[in-house]
Amino acid sequence: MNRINQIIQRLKQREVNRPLAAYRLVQIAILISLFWKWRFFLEANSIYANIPVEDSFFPDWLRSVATIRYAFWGSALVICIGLVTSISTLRKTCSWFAIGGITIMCIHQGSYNDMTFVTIWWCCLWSVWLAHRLDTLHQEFLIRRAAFLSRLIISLILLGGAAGKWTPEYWSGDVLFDIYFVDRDFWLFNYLRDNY
Amino acid sequence: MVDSSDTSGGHENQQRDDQQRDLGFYAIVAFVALVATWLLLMPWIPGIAKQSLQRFHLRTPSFPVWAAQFPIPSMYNFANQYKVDEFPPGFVMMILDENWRYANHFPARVITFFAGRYDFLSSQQDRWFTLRSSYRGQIVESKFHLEARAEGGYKLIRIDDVEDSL
Repeated sequence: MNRINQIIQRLKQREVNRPLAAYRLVQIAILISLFWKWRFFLEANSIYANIPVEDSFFPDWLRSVATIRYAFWGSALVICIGLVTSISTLRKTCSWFAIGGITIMCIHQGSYNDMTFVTIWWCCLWSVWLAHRLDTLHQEFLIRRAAFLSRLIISLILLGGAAGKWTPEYWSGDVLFDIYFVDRDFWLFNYLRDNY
Repeated sequence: MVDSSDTSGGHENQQRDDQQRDLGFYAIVAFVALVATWLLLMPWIPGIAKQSLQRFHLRTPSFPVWAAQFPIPSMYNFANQYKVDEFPPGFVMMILDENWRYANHFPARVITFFAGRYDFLSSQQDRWFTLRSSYRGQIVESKFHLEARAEGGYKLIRIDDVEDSL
């Protein structure tokens, strides 16, 4: 903690724009999260093109593989621009396009409600707000609000996970056992299966 | 000469003005509070759980209502199971009807997401999916026929006699 405090003190002394630094840090984290799904994107790109599923529940354009391509790459591009630009208007515009692109990912037939994209969407909402507030003079006040909002959003996401598990099938362990321990091919579960 | 207390007062006023103008902040806080209320009430109000279970099965009455729920975090919610059959329901009685597996959430993704499409729909033959989600005694079961199309891909048909105990 002392080390973190020292770094914060140093940043203050150098008059670093901390809200802007936080904004950029979150954009980097969003980009990492997006490209964390790179394998998903590659496989989706190929499989959705070869095995389309026609379902009248989704509008045509939200079943199209082209929409996922544009939404994924478009979001990544505008987040990159928003990360590096020093032009406030451009940053604000990029933040709106980013949340638009991620919204599409969250309701597309091939990527809907993926928790990575939903979490990114909440981060984008935070980014839209902060992008519009970066021009205000009170950096300390703004960074406190930004920190408060981010904690609020993290709490909400964890609450979402907890509320849905308030059911006997989770308490008995049946669900997690079947999903993770029966046959999931991942080194940790393979190790646990072999040894316990 | 500028009085330091005046400066401080001006500073506070400006901060207060900024605070009042920051509608975006209050809008996000209100939105988070709304979603949190929905989530906290879900275990106790069956109607909310029903909406959420239907959302998981792509059975919400309209797409806009379904889409509007996407910001509600639902990581690994409910006990979701699925089974995939090569024959229509009732056509062949399986000797051991125990090929149910759990899905972590949104069981309809077994049909719509890349891994499920690859695992179950690569053969270009008809398949029948049954999804079952339960939450605190409520159960929703849905049946889908994935009809292979001559030109490639599938057509998803919802089988009407869905069973639920909502």
